[in-house]
Parts: sequence; structure tokens; C-alpha cells
Amino acid sequence: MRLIFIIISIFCSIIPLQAFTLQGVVTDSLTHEPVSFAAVYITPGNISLQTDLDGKFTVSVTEGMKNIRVSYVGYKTAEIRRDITGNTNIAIPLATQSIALAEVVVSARESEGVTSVSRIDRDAMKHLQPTSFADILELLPGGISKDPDIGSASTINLRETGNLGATGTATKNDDYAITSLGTLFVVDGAPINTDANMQSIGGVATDPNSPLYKRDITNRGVDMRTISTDNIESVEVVRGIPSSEYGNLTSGMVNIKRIRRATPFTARFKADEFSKLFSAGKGFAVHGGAHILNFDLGYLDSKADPRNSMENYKRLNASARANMRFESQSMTTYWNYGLDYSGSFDNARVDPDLNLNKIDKFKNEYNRFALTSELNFNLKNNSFFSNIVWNMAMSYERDKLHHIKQVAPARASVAPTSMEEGVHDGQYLLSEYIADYTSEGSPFTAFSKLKLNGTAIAGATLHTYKGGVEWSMSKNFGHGQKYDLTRPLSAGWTTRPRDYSTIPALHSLVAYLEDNIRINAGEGSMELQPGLRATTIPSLDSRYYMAGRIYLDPRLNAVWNLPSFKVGKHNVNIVIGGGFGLTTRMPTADYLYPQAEYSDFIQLNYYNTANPSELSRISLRTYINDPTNFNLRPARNGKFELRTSLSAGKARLSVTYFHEHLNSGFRYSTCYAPYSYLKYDASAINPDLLTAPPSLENLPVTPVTVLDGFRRVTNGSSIRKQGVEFQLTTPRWKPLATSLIINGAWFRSTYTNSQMLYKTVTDVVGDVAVKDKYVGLYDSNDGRINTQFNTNFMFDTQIPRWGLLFTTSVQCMWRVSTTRLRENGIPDSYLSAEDGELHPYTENAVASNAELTYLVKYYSDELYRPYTIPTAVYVNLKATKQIGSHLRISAFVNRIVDYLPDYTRNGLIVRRSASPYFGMEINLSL
Amino acid sequence: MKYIFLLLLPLFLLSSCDDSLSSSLTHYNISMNISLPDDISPESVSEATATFRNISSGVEQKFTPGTEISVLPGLYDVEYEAKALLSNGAESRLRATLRSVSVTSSLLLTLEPFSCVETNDLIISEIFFTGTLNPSGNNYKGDDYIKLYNNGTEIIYADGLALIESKFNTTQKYDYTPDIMNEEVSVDAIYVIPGSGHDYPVKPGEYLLLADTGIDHRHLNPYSFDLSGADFEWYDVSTSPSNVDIDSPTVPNLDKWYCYTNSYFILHNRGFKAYGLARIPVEKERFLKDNLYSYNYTVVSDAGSFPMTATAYRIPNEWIVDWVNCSVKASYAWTVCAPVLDMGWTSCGIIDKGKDRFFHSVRRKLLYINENGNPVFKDTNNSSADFNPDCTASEIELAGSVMDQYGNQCLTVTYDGITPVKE
Repeated sequence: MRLIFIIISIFCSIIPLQAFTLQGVVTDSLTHEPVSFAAVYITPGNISLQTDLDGKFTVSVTEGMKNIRVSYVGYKTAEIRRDITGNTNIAIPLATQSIALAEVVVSARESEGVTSVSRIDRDAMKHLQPTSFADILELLPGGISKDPDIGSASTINLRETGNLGATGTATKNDDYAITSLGTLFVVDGAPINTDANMQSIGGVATDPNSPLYKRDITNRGVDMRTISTDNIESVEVVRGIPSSEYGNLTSGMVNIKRIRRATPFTARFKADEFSKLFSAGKGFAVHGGAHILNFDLGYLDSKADPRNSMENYKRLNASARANMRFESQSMTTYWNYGLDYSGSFDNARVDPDLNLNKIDKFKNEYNRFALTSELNFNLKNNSFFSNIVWNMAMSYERDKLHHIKQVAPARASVAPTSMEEGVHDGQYLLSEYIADYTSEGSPFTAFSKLKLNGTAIAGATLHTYKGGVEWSMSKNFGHGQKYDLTRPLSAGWTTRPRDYSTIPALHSLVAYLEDNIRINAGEGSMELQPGLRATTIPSLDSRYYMAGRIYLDPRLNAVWNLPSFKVGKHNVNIVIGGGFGLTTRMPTADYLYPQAEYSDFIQLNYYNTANPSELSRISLRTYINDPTNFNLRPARNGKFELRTSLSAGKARLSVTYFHEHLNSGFRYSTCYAPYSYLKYDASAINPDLLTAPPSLENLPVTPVTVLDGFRRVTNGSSIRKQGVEFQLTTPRWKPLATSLIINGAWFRSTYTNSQMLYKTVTDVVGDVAVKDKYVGLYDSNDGRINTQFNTNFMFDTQIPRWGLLFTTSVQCMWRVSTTRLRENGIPDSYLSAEDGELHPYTENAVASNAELTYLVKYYSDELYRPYTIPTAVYVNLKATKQIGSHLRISAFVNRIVDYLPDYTRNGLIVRRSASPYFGMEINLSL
Repeated sequence: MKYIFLLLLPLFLLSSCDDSLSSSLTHYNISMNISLPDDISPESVSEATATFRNISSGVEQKFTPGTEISVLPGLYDVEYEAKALLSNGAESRLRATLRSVSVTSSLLLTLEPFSCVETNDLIISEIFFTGTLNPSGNNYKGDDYIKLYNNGTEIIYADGLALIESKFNTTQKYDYTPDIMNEEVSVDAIYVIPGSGHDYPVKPGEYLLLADTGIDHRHLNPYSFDLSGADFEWYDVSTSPSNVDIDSPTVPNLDKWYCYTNSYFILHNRGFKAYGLARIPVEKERFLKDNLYSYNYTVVSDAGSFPMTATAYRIPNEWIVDWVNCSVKASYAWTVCAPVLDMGWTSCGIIDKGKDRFFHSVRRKLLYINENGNPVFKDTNNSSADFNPDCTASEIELAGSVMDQYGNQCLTVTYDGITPVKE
């Protein structure tokens, strides 16, 4: 489907007042460093905005006397009056407040921009005391504190409940991997590209409790365990419709900006029941503050279960970043570049003391080196473009998954050993052996983006427009899975190794255009942000449907600031906004070039009792199935939202309704095809005459054709997300020095299939399984509808004089409910082994072939009964105390109090329990 | 003729005489109504005892007529046993059981005892379902077997004898409807000894070894033993390399009538099933056509009550030659046959998945050695009384192979896992 989108810019000329550009830079009055994200408020006109990373702001104002107020936590508010008669540049120095600990924001802030964004700052992260990025998501609407599950890859869910089982517990379901795959992570302007990551064991459905399965991140995006929070300045989680500048996503985006300012030497030591963490960092200002260098280092050592030292996770990260500023007559040039290393090490092994001399060791190593650069030319003359940015990033990973396991076939088993199609001999696994499996991946990614920003004033409208082009590529140079086919990880293993370096590189080309139109209408203002993003994959083979096609993402966000009015002594502001847009996620390398699937059939199974290792023979017929789907499309999500916010004085309420629908999520579906092979009768072999394995000639033979399944990539998953998010911030109540922040969400998420599914039946007629002859294709829904409603009440007490910051969060999960979707047990059509064709499943077909009646599946109505988990309430405490000017100690206890009433479902009492999770940390600042 | 044999009438309920203790120690009085078979008169009954065994605590209490039956609340297995003199002058044993009786108040229990009728056919003398361990401690599974024995004085022809496995588990009880358990057993595997009637004679005192895979298992697991001399094996044809069965060329295959699995049949390694022998007097095709048993049951969880439908094959009790319920001591829930076939159960290991169960089998108890030097085993259709649980498998004893996970060799040979064979 292609959409044609026309950007209609509306030029309003309501008041023909002359407009000028006002540019300002906000700096620390002592260090002369720029103050980023300072709030700037200009009256009359009620323009509120923030300074950028470099402490700058640009705004279009009408002529006349203006009052400019700049505030930022930790600084005294500055106020400047200036008569605007032409384009103006001003410098605003901010003086620090003399209090030891300034008031800080300890929660996520709902942004006042054109789309829904949760912004989490350094202070909130410090107070939360996270171990990894995954921990800070509890601040988002719908979020709730969770114990770190350090033994599993941690992936993100935005605006949804996630997959739930029949009793409402969270489950992992690879069919809906697009949830996390479709969330873009951007660090310092460069996306984290995981498309070439395929560190898995390849094609085998494994035990959900096995370390290989729990840590497998293939096609699931970013593992948030690997992201340390200690060098992050701010995080913006875009839940709404992101700017056209960002793409290759379906759900949302996480924009991480790291510390780029002069800081004292800081060190952090954290310990909790699962982990120990150490980090240190320092930022230097050189050349009178023109250049800034940042260095940091972090180490995490954690255990999945504090009692078990055999299963652990370690993380090591180091980063060096430079921020350089060059002034010339025509422009200011910023060059930010950085070199990063992050290492992530999963270990799991069985305790040899508890398991005799059993060997089972799992090690998953991930070493990522990244180079990012941003060259930013700020032009001083007012040309069409005021700003040119060139981003470049490269990353290289050395990933190694190593699994050594002593395998004891529970009985005589067979290992297929042929890498080719045809008839070949398999090998009996006759004794215990050590399986040594490695998977070596070396994903390399490159990214380059050129973007132009500019502003123009037309009448009362200010256009802030941007456009850019972007190229990215990923390629895995690793040699992939390596193991001895005669020593597989488990008996009954039928997959074959694969060399990742044979997979072609994946390129993508993007162009985007966006205009932010700001219309000042008296005291109110309106902002409209249309944008268009075009993506194509140029490197694809022409057999792919996607080859040569361009996918367009039209997006539109709008926000209307109503004129403010006074109620009592408070200024009341009302903002109404909304947006809609398409977001597109291109398939990963694994989806475009999936691993070949092998089907092996036993033709002869002759075991010689006297001399099994030399005289036995197992003959297999091997078929190779190509699971590549040349018809694969990108996953596309349609997003819509409606927002409103109301602020009165310092109190603010914001409410967002959203609706998203994705119908083309990636999933591996099982397909069926007929396979023919010969069945030899081993009883004709006379063991006494054998001097070598028996030959196949002269043995009685029967030809057989059966249906068998293999996995194929499809666009078969559908996710529908609906919900309401809300946040209320109250002003601080002086007597208790406490403010209340309430946030929460109601989500309704539907996970289902968008294409028909093959399903087998277990019936056997005579000696023949029905599924060997017929497999039905069902027009049925296999998913669930989940809802959840939660509210978090955070009491934030700050007593700067005592250097004390104390928060009490009461987290209420009012209700979680899940209902299975109705299944249709009557096949739409069926596949027959005789001709390998699909036939319509009609009454006539059933009448002529009674065996087809077995294909009708029956589902009990009980399956569709909703399951609801009633209210769960937890109380979390967090405290931070500043001691002197160098030392800060913090501690937290999650779930120190809980309210988990028993409930009755289907006549059974379900009891719940929670255990507290606590930890503490020391921060030094020298 | 029905006769009401009242052991005791409920006299009174304990009232709260001591507030601090009595509430948790309330005993309940049980009255029993024994309904004798028509051909047995109440005067011929003697030596009656009723045994109440608390399933949770294992505490057994025996009561004789005239004493007051008073038990603590709980779940009980109730057994009634008595001697009866039949009208023909022969002595028979009367037995009745009630499984999983929940005592939460004073009760009147009705028992219908039966008199034991023994068959003159092969019996199961041993079931080795647990398997062995590899030197690394991993479970090895191909060496399970069942041993049959001629406990009588005449030659018995094994031709046509079917080895069967119960469909239901002894560790999980559901209300299967229609309930046919009093008349028939439900089975999920039927493997029949081939032959035309007189091909496989078993002399008195001889064994017949039915093995999973009749090969020398020491090639695959040095801690296992040789089964290439087995009399028969059950073999399942498979087309997928992920589940292969080996067809030993030296051991004839049992004739596979039916098995629930698409891969290969293996005795339930944790011991949840019952095994039996049957003589099915009809042709295979007719049996499979006429004896399909479709049943319903409900799985109750907090997510809902799920009605389930499943199928098995039904075999009338009259066709059953022998039946042995196996279970796990800590997980036992019920016996999966009519009490007339087997009123008890036997086991290997105390807890489910216990590692101590490997290398062990259940073996029938020795009664005496007859004049020909052959052992005579106990067969009272009560596996609890007839079998020694947790014995070293007889094939391990005969081979002198490894008998535990530490690699210790077995040095003694016994008749029944307990009584040594004297040289």
C-alpha cells in the first residue's frame, strides 16, 4: 500500500505585525558553560521554549518591548527586558543558587512539544538508582517497578500490556517481537542498529527456561540491560508520532543524550540484592570552555538469583566524548564525537557438585565498539538554512555465544550430517559426548546523515523546517554457528550450521522533510508539524517485492495553545493537540535472509546388535526448505493520538488518548509441503553375512509421501494498541515540602495474527496420522486481548536545607485482564499430500473424503472466559541525602508494603505474594 | 441378599470440653455398611479388619468388629479384608477398598467386598520402568523392560498375550465420564506377543523378558546391561531423526496393535502408569473398531474449567490376566483399575523425579521355593502386598552390572529383590 501525502501549509496572516528573529545563549555565570534545556519564557506573546544542548534558543518575535525570563533548576531565575526593533542576539548569564541541593525533578516530565514525549533527566535517574536502562521505564505512564531480571534479555514495550498468558502473567512471544524491534534507540544522534544481530542457536524451538532462549535478542531490537544510565544526561521517550527525522520504527523511539559538559569527578557505588555496580566519570572544559571532554567508565556484576553464583551477568562500559566549538565570522561550528565500548557478558552453568560430573556451560559475550560524530555548522547570517548537521556513526561488534554441554543421548539417537539435499547416511549417537557449540557474530553498522535546518518568517507564522538524507547499512562478518554435526547440542537436533558472513549487507536510504509552522494568534498560538519520510532498501535482489520500492511515512502533529486566562491569582493555560502518522520498520537481516530449514526422513534404520559402530546404517532423505519470503513487506504501524493539557500555576494535568494499529508485524509461521522418500525394510538384512554396513540395493522398498512443516517469515502479526495516558503534577505544599505526581495509563492491546494459519490435528486413522496426509489452513485468531489500568502516586518531598530528597511511590495496578480471541475451527482450505495443492474445504470435499472431518478443531467456550487479576498495590521508598559537598548517599526499598488480596477464580483461591527489593548507593563528587 | 453389618453406630460427637486443644484434634466416628456378595452368607465371614490409612500422614489404624472407628479428619484409603468360607468348602478372601475418602464429618461408608479369583496364566513378576544412568549422571532410557513368569504348574503358551499400559495416571485423578473403571480398564498401548497358539511355551518357573530395545545397551551406556537376549521387544517405526527407535535384529518384535505416541513407546519413567497383561479374544481390527473409548473430563484451574475429550481403548476386566498399578509414594492419587484387578499399588522412589529410583524396579514377593526349586510368587491382586518396591532390577543382578549412580556393581542375585538366591 502506498500513500500519497500532500503537505498543505496553511499560511495565516491574522495580524500584520513585523516579526524578527531573537537569538539567545544561556550560560553559567561562573563557568561560562552553556546551560542546556533551560526554560525560556517570553511575554507578551507567552512563548515558552527550551534552550538546546548548546544553551541556545531561536525564536521569532514581534516588534516591541519584550520580557525574557530564563529559569533552570539550581540557578536563580534571570529576567531581561529588551526592546525588539530588529533581529537581536542576547546573552543571558545564570547565577547558581547557593543552596546545597536544589529542588529537582524526580519523575518523568510530559513534554509541552507537538507530540507525546516523556522526558527523564539526570536527577530523576539519580534518585531512581537504576542498574540498567530497563529500570527507568517505570517512570513512563503505565510503568510499574519491577525486579531486574538480569538473566533474560530485556526489551521495551511502549503503550502496551505486552504478551500475557492465560492467567495474566507476562510471557515472551516471538510472534510479536516487532513490539521491541519497532522501538528505535538513538544515542547522541545515531541509531543503535541491531538488524544484523543473529546470536541465536538458529531455528530450534528451545526450552523457554534455557539460557540460550532467554538471552536470545535476534529480531527483538535492543537489549536494555546493555545500556548503562550513568553517562546519560537526559532521555526522551517519544510515545506519540515521532518527527520525520526519525524512522525505521513502528512503536516509538528512545532518544538518549549523554553528558557533554564539564563535571566534577563523580563516582558511584551501588549494591542491591542482585548486583554490584561501580561507575566513574569526569568532564573537562578546555580552552576557556570552548571544548569539553567527557570520560566515563562503568562496571556491573549481577546475578539472576543471589543464591546462585553460577548464573550471572556482567557489563563493562567505557566512553570518551569530545565536544568542540570553533567560532568564525560566518559561523559557529560544533564537533561532537565519541568513542564507546560496551561489553556484556552472560554466564550460566550447572553446578558440577550438584550434578555429578555433568558439564553444561553457557557464555554469551557481546563487545560493541562505536564511533559517533556530529558536525554542526551554525550559520550566523540569515540564509535559508541556519544550521547544517552531518552525523556519522560506525559500530562493530564481536559477539560470541559459546555453549559446552555434556550430552547423554537418552537412547540410541541419530544425527543427520548432510549439508546437501538428497540421500545420505546419518550417524547413530551411541555414547555420551561433549557438544561444543559456538556462534560468532560480527555485526558492523554504518550510518551517515546530512540534515539542514532553517527558519523563515512569513507574516505571523514562523516556519522551522528541516530536511535530510540518511544512509545506513549493516552486515554481519561473523563466521556464525560452528559445531560438529555428529555432536549436536541435543539428540534429535536437525538444524545445520550457518556462516553469517555469507548473508548480504543490508542498506537503507532515507530522505525526509518536515516543517514546523508556528502561528501566533494574539495571546494564543498554534503549531503544525507536517512531515514526510521516504525509505527504500537499495541492495535487495529483484526477486523481493520490496526491491526498488519506496515507502512513504506521512506524519502530522498539531498543537493549539489557547490564550491563557486567570482564575483567581493563577494563570491557566490549556493546550489541545493531536497527530497521526505512519511508521515503517524494515525487516532485519534474519527476516530477509532466514536460515535454511532441513527436513530429514529416515529411509532405513538398521542397527547391528553385535557391532553397532561399524555395521549399522541409517539412511536419510534430506530436503532443504528455503524459508525466504520474497513477498515480505515492511511492518507498518498507523498511529493516532489526541492530547490535552491544562496548567494552573504550577499544577499541570495532561491526558493523551492513542490508537495504533499494525497489521504486518513479522512472524515465523509454519508452512507445510509434501515430501517423498523411500522406506526400506531392514528385516531383509541377514546380519551374519555383513562385513560392512548393508547396502540399500536389493532391499524391499515402499515409496512414501508425507506432509511436513517448516518455518517461514511472514507479515502475519497484528497488534492493535489503544489507551489513555495521564499525568498530574501538583505544586509543592510548603508545610510538608511535598508535591504529588500522579501518573498512569489504561491500555488495551490486541495481539493476533493477520494471515491464515496452518494447524495440524493429532488424530490417527488406521496406522496413518491425518497430519501426514492433510493439513488445514484456518481463518482464525490465535491471540489475546489484554487490558491493564494502573496509577502511580509519587509523593516527592524535598528539603534542600537538609540536603534531603525523599519519595514515596504508591504504585497501584488496579486491574490486569486477558481474554483469548475466538478461534474458528473449520478450515478455510486444506493441503493434501497427494498433490501438494491447497483445496477449498467445502461440504462436497468432506462428503467425498470422510478423513477431512478430522480437520475440524473444537474449542471449549471456557477458553474465551476473561481472566482478571484484581488490584495490586505496592509502596516503594527512595531517599537521597547530601552529606557535605562531596558525598551523597541514597537507598531504596521497592515493595516495602504491599496489598495483594487473595482472589477466587473458578472456585480456586489464588494467593499472591511479593518480596521487597532493596539497595543502596554512595555517590562521590570531587 | 443384602446384609447390613454395622461395626458401630455413631455414638456422640466430641464436644468442646477443652477449648485450648480439642478444636484441632476432633475425631470423627465412622460407621461401615458391608454389603456382601450374594453367594456369601454373613455367618461364613471371619477375621474381618478395616484399615484406615491416612494418605497425607501415612498413619494406619486397624479396627475389628465391635470397636469404635474414630479417626482424625483427612483423606483416607480404606481397606476391608476378611476370610469367607464358600459354600463349596473352599476358602476365599474378601476384600474391599475405598480410595481417597475425605473425612470431614462423621460418615457412613458402604463397602462392597469381592472374593478373590486367581487366574492360571502368566503373571508380571517385575517392571523395570526407571531406566539407568549414564556415568555422567544423565538418565538413559532404552533399557526398560517387563518380566513375565509362569507361577503355576502347567506349561502356558504366551502367544496372543497383550502387554498393556493404563491410559490414566495414578498420580492425578479426574472424574472421567463415562466411568467404566468398575468393568473395564482404559489403555493407551497394546503390544501383543505373536504366534499362532503354541509357538511360545513358557514352562513352570520360566520367565519371559519383554524389552523396550533388545540390544546390548553397554554400547550406549557402560552403566547399562545387555538385553540382546530378550524374548521380545516393542519397536515403533519412526520417520524422523529426532525420535528413532532401534529394531534389534536378534529380538523378535511384539505385534503393535496400538500406541498413543507418534514417536516411540517407553515405560513411564517416573512410574505414573499401570501395566497389565490381557488375552484379547477378538481379532485386532475388530478390537480396534469396537473397543474405542471416548471419554470426557474437566481440568479445573484458576483460568477456567476446561472440558477435555480424549480417547483410549477399553478392555473388559474378564480379559485381564494381570494388572499392576505403579505410582510414586509422594504423589499417589488413585489406582486406575477396579479393585478386583489390583487393590493396591507399588512404586520406585519416594518423590516424583527422585534420582534414587534409577536402576530400580518393582518385583513380586517370593512366597516359597517349590519342590522343583522354582520360586512361587505372591499374587493376591494387591500390588501393595504382592510387590517389593525399590528393588535392584533382576537383569542388573544377573549381569552383575552397575546398580547405582556411583558405579557400584551389583554382587548379589535375589529372587525378588530381597531374598538372596543360595548357591
